[in-house]
Amino acid sequence: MFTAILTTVMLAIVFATTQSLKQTIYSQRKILSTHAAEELQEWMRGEKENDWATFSARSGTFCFNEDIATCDASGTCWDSNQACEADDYSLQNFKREAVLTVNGSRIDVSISVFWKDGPNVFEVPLITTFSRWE
Amino acid sequence: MRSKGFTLLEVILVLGILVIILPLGFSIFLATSRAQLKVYVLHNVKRNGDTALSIMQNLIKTRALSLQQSDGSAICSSAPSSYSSGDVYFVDADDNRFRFYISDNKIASESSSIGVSFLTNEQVSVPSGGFSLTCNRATPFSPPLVALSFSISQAASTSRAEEQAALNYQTKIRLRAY
Repeated sequence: MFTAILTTVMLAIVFATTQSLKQTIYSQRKILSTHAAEELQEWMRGEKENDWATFSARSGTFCFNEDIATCDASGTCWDSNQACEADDYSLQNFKREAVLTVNGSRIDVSISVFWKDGPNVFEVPLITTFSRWE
Repeated sequence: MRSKGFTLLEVILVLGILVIILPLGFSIFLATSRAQLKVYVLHNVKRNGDTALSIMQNLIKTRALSLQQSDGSAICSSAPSSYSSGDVYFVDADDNRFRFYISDNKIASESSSIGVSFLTNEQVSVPSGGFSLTCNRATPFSPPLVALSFSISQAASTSRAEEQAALNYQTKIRLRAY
């Protein structure tokens, strides 16, 4: 009886600690993915400010698994014009996509950053609208 | 008459369970502590970076009328032109100058009317080489465009991985008060 109670208590403590660890790792991933989404949003704001005509001509889904710091120099970050590969989590274990939709004189942008934890896929969405300021 | 106490088998069983579960429990507890410290550090770095970026964006966007070098000569006033040599001063509608720069690995905001204030705290570090402020003006019909970027990291005293975190920030801001 004593052995059964002791085992149950110990296993309960281990289970609770494991759940706490999973939740902490989720928080860590969420902070990084939120930053990745905001980083892309700021980069797109820069693209919009730099050349509205070129920016507003883009629409569709784009994969942004590159390091944003290399985008200005190379200019190839828009090249994909398609969603990331299903299992392409090459952005430090994240996958970053943006969907651009022309909405009259505005561009609706929906940025999503995904990560995998075992069989589960988590997502941080970020939706914004860019318009031209005159 | 049966004697009270545990049998040898029961004692061995309990000790066996403790030997298996205690190290497992402690290792998970330590991993949780390390992960929680990492979350705290990341959150602190991100909070500092977000705040600094937001303040600089808003001030440049809403207050800056033109740009100057430290000696007062205008930059990015004609088109096409660009400037990337460092000391960028912004001039507001009241002719007050303000600028952003790195001092003691912190982002400082200096204004001729308010003085110096820091946009990041002592727990994070922004190396001067990781801070960049440039401008360019493409056409006479559009205001100057300011490009701002910086790297911010935890000012860790140890090299433990859970105490390390670094994030990059960049944006471009069009002077709206121009």
